[in-house]
Amino acid sequence: MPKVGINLITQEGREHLQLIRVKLKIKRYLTVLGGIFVVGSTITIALFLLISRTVKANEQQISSLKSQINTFQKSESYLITINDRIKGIDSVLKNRKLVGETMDLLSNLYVPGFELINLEFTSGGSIKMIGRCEDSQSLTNFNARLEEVRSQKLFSQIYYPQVTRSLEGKYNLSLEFKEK
Amino acid sequence: MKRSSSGNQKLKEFGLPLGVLLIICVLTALVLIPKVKEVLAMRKKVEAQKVEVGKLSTKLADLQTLSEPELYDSANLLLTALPAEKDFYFVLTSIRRIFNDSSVVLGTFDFSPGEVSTQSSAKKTKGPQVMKMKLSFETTRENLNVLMDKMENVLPILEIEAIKFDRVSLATESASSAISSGQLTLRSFSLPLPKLLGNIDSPLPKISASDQKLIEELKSYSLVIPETLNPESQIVGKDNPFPF
Repeated sequence: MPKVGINLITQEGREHLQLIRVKLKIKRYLTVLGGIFVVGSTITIALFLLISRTVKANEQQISSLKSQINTFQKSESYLITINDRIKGIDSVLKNRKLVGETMDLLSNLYVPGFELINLEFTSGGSIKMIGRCEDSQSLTNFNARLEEVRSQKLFSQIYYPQVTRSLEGKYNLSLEFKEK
Repeated sequence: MKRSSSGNQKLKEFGLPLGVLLIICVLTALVLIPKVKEVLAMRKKVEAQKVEVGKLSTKLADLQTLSEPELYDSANLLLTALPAEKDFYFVLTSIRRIFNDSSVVLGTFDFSPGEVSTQSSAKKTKGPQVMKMKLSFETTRENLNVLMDKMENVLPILEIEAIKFDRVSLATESASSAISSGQLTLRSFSLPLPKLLGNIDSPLPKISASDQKLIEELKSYSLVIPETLNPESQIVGKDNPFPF
């Protein structure tokens, strides 16, 4: 025999009960939400205050460091000047040709009767020399000396483009040397 | 009547929770979320400040190790070696001194100062500016070698660009005593100072070991005390009627 459910609660009562259940649920959710909100707000405010203090402290520290660095302004300006000058001097000295040394090397070529007319140091690192030999003997001696200089490898390259003879019987020479 | 009173009752019972919910949503949207964003931004700021504090502390520590008098001496030396301005009068008088000290006769000279202007209006060119000068000389070869040696070891830094001989009188004794005359082409250098000589936020430049070596090398160069060119005495007024 099937059971027959007998509900003694009236329709009105059932509605009232439903309402109470909904109210309780809402209350529960609101309590949880309210709790999360309060906790979240508290943490946020605490973090905000803490980080604000840290920012202020850092700003003070930065300001103090900057004022201390300012007292060394002169030293800093000297240092910057030194750094700037060194770069310029370095570039000048690296490209500077030392004539004295080169003249010493070229003096190996001086033979009796030889006259140095012109010596020019080009920006490409080569030395152009124009000279004159009094006579053929002087020219022969010069060529022999040049051969010695070549064999000693005092220069990386020797270029001997021209020898001309003037009406007076003198020999005009032009040479080009490249330093090592 | 019964229905309307139950409706009012429901409104009263649900109104308060809905109101609280609304307040929570509004406060979250208007206050909490912006505050959270602010906190995140401040955290980034704190990170940036930490980096800046580190840089400034390092810079301060480096500055405290420096000796101001030593830096002043080095800066002075380097400014003597490579002046900030073209001063052709100073260069001329310095060269006269070198010539005299080397017993070389200085004949004529020809300067090309180029652009001469105050530092504020001077163009900032890349690298040192060059001033060329041509000088005629007469001397023995030995003294010429002495002259060239001096030129290459003197402050301010000079460079011999070319030597042209007009004539060489061959001496009977030795080639070193042969009289030479000719023209010397010299170059002197200058470099304007940088526009900014210090900035708190910029890192400190370092002097490397090779830089220190260069400074020591320059200390071995001679400093030329320029020759003063005596002004000609000018006779003004009437002649002295009592010369004895």
